[in-house]
Amino acid sequence: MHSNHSHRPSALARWRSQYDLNGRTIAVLVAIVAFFALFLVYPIAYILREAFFLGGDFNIGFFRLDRQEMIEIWNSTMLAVVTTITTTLISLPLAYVLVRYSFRGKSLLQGFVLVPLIMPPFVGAVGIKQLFSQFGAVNMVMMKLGLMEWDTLIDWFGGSEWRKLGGVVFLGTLHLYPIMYLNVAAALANVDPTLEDAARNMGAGRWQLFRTISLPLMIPGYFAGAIIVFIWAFTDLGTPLMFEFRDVVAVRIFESSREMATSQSAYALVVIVIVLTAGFFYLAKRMSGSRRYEMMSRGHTGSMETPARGLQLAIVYATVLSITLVAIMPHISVILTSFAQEGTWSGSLYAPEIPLKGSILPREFTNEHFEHVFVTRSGEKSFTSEGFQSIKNSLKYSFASTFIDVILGVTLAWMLTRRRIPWKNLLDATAMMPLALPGVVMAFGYVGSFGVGPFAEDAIFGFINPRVNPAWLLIIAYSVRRLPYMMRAAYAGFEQTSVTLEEASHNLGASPTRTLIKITLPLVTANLIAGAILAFSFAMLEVSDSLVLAGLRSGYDPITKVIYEFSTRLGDGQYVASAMGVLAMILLTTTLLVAARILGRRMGDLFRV
Amino acid sequence: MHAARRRAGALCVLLAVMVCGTAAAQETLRILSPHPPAMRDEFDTGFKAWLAEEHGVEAEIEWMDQGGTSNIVRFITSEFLRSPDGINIDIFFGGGTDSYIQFTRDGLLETYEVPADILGAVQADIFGVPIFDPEHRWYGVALAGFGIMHNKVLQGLFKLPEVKTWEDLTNPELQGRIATADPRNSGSAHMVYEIILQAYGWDKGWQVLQEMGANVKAFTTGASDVPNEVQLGNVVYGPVIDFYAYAQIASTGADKLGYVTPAGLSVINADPIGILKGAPRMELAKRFIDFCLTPRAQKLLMLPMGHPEGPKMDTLARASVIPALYAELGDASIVGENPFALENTIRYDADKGGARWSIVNDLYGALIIDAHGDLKAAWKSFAKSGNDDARATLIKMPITEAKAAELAAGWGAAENALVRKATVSKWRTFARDKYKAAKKMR
Repeated sequence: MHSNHSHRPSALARWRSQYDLNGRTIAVLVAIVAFFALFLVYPIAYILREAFFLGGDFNIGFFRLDRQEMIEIWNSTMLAVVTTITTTLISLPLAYVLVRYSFRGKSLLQGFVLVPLIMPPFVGAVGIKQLFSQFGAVNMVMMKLGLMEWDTLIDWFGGSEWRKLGGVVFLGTLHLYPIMYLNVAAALANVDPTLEDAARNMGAGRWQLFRTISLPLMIPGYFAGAIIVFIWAFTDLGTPLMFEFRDVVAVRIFESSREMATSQSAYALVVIVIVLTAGFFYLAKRMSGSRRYEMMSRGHTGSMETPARGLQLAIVYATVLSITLVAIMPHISVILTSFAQEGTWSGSLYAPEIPLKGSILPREFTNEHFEHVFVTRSGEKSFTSEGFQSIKNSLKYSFASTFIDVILGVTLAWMLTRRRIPWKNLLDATAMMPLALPGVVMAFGYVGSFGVGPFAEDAIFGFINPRVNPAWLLIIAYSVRRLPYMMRAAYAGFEQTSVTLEEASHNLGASPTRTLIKITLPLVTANLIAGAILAFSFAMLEVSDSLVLAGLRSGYDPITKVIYEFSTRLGDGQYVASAMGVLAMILLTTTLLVAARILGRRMGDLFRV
Repeated sequence: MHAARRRAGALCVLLAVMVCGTAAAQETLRILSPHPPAMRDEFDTGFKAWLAEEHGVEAEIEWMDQGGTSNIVRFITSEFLRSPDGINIDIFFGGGTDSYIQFTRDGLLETYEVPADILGAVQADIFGVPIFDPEHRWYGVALAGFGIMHNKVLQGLFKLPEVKTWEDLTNPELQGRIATADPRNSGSAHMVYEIILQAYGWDKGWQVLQEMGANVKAFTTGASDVPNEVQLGNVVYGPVIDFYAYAQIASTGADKLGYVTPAGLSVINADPIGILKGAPRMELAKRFIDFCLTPRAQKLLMLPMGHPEGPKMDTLARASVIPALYAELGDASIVGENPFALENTIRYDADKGGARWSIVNDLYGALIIDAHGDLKAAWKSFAKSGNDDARATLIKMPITEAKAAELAAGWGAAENALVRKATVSKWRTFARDKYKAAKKMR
C-alpha cells in the first residue's frame, strides 16, 4: 500500500503530476477564471441572493410556482421542443445533400442557406405579420383565387395562443436552421472518407452506410447544434414579444424585471430557468459526449462528393430551393414593408375593391422610411441621427465582443481538449453556462450586480456601471453570451482532429505553441471561422441584452434596440423599423462578403468545412 | 507572435478609445417619458432654441426609454427604493395625472412654482379635475381624451353595429373584433379601464370590462399597437387615447378610420410633467417646465407641421392647457374640439384612480388577460345559450371596491411582494374556475 512507502511525493506534487501545469498554463487559467468569476459567477450569485433572501432572511416563498408560471414554463419548453424538431427536419436533409452531392450552382446555394442569419427573427416578424395578417397579401391572393371568403380570412399568426406559437416557431426555425446545418455539415464533412470506403468495400448499401457510419459520426455535431437551437428557442425574447406570445418565461422575466427592487418573483423564475436549461444541456451533452469518434486522417472532402444526376439532381434542387424560398420570406416581406407607403400593403382599407394583381405588392411605394432613419430630432439629415448612431454602436460592440470571443474560445477549447488540467468539467460547464442563461437574465444580473452592487459608485470600477456607460457591459454581455458558440466550434474542431498529428509535431521538436499555430489551428480553421462569424452576427442581432442594458442610458443603443423601439411606434413605426432592418441586413451581408474576400475564398466555400 | 500580441494590444486600446468617445460635453437634462418620439423631438428642439434665446444657455436632453407609462412608474418606484435621495433622472414627462398623484403621495416629486407670468395663462382645472397640482409638484402640459377607434371599411364589410359607448363594446357580435392593451404595460390602457370603472361604478364597470375583454381578440403590449391592429384589419374596434387615433386617421384617411368619444362617459385628463426628487440638474429642469407651459411650446401641440410657429417634423395634434389659445389660433389649430367647451358628465376622481392604479392593473391582468382563453370560451357559450346564470357567474368579482381600496395601500411595497403574488395567483384561479363553471351552464 502507499502508506507503507518510506519515500513518497507530497500530496500537492502528486496532484500536480496528474496535470500539465506549467507557469504559462497557470497564468492563462487564472486569467480565464478571473473573467468568469467577475462576469458570470458574480452576477449569478447576485441573482441567487435576490431570489432566496427577502429583507435579509432566507425565504423560498418565491419558488412556489402558481399556475400562470407553470404555463409559462410549459410554453417555453414546448416552443423549444417544437422548434428543435422543425429545425432538425429542415437541416439534416439539407446538410446531407449539400455535403455529399456536387452539382451546378452548389456554392451559390450554400450561400443561400445562410441568408436567414443576416436578420434577427424579431425583425422578420414585422414583415411576416404584415404578409400573413387577416387582410395581408397572402390572404388577399388566396381570396382573389377563390380559396377564401371575406368572412373566413385567417389571421395566420395572431388571435389565438396556438397561432402566435406557430408564428414564433415559424420564424425561430427559419432563423435557426442554418446553425444546425453548419454544425451537422461540419461534422459530416469531417467524416473520414476511408471509413466509408471501407464499409462500401465490405458490401454495405447506401442506407446501411449512412445508418452505421455517417449518422453516428455526425451525432456530436448534431447535438452541438440541437442544444444551441433548443436553448435559444427556450429563452428567446424578441420573437415572442413581436408576436405577443407573452406566456413564456423570457417575456415574464423581461416584464417583471422593471420592478427589480419591488418584486423578487422574477429572480426566482430566473433561478428555475437556469436549473432547467442546465438540465436540458446536461441531457444533450450526455447523449453526444458519451460517444467519442476520432478520425485518423482528414481526407479531402471533395473525394466524398458524388455528382447528382437526373432525378437525384431534381430532388436536390427542389429540397434546397424550396427551403431557401421559404426562409427568405421574412426578408422579402421586411424589404417590401420598408418601401411601402403606410397602410397600402393591407386589404383592410381597400376591401373589397382590390384587383388580384394589386393584392400581392404594396399599392404605393416610398423611400421616406429610409430617410427617417437618417433624420435627427431637429429634422436635419445627419449621421448623428438615432438610426445611424445605432449602426455605429452595433458595429463597435460586435467587433469588440467577437475579438474577445475568438481569443477566449480558442484558448479554452485548446485547454480542454489538449491539456490535462484540473476541474476540466467545471471549467467547461462554466464556459457553456451562458447558453443556459437567457439574455434578460444575464443583463439583469449585470444591471443588479454592476449597477447597484458594491462596484456601482466605485471611483475606479464605477465606469462599468451600465447607468454610467452601458457600452462596456454590452460588449461583455455579447461576448460572454456568444462564447459557447465560439468555444463549441473550436472544441468540435479540436475533437475531430486527431492528436496524432500534434504528437508527430512534438516528436519532431516543435514547441507546444508552435504546434498549436502550425498544426492544430490550421486544421480547425474552418470551425473557427464559422464560430467567429456566428459570434459576430449574433452580437449584431442580439436582442435581450440590448433591450435591457441599453435601456438605462440613451445614445448607446445598438441596432436591435432601435428597431424594437421603432416597431412599437405609432404610425410609420413598423415601416421605419423595417427600413432599419433592411440596412442591418445589408450591413451583415457586406460583413460576411468582406470576410469571405479577406479569406480569399468564395462565399460558399467559406462554409464548406 | 510578438507582433501579433502588439497588434492585439493596439486593437484593445483602439476599442477602448472608440467606446469612450461618446461622452457629452454640456449639461444634459435626463428625461424619462412615455411620449411618442414626435412629441419628444419637437420639445427637444423647441426647448433648446428657447433656452438659447431667453437664457443664453446651451444644453442637451437625454430622452430615456423604459416602455409605457406603467413600466416607467414601476421603474421609478423601484429605482427610488434602491436610491431614495435621487435616481439621477431630472424629469418625468407625460403619462396621465394618476401616476403623478401616486408620486406626490410617495414624495418623489420636487416642488417648483412656475413664474406667474407663464402659469397665469394656464387654467387650474377642467371639470373639477386639476390640470396642475395646487402645491406645484406637477403641471399638466397637454390634455388627453379617450375614445373608440374603428375601421369603417371592415365595419361595413362585416355589417357590424356602430359603437358609441364603452358598453356597446360588450355586444357578443363583436367577438374577436376588438384589440386593447395590457394595463400592466400601458398607462393609457389603464386610463380607459379606470374611466370605465368610474363611469359605471365598480360592479357594473367590471362587468363591462370583463364582457368587453371576452370580445377582445388579442391584448397588445403597447397602447400604440391598438390603432395599428385596427388599421391592419386584424380587429375592427379599439379603445384608444384620442391623439393616437387622430395621428392614424391623419395618415390613412377619415373615410377609412373613425374615432368616437363616448358621449358623457369619457374624461379629459391632463398629461403632466414633474421634477423628480433629487434631480441633479435642478435649474435646467425648472427651465424645461417653464418652457412646456409657454404659449410657444403650447402652439407646437396645436398647430400643424409647416406652420411658422408649429412643429417642424410632425403634427402633434394635442389639446393645449391654455384656454385662450383655442380662440387665438382659431382655424389654424388642428385640434378640432375645445375640451374646455365640452359637456362632460363624469367627474373623474384622480385621487381614487391614483391610489388603486396597480391593483386595478393586476386585477385586470388576472381576471381578463391571464385567463383569456377560458373567458372567451365561457362568453361564446353564453352568447349561444343566453343563460343569465352563466352571465352572472362569468362577471363575478373576487374582491369588493372597499377591499380593493384597503389592499391598494401597501400593494407596491417590497415587503408585501409575497402577499401580492399569492393574491394575484388566487385571483387567476378564481377567474379560471368561474369561467369554466359559466361555460358549463347552458
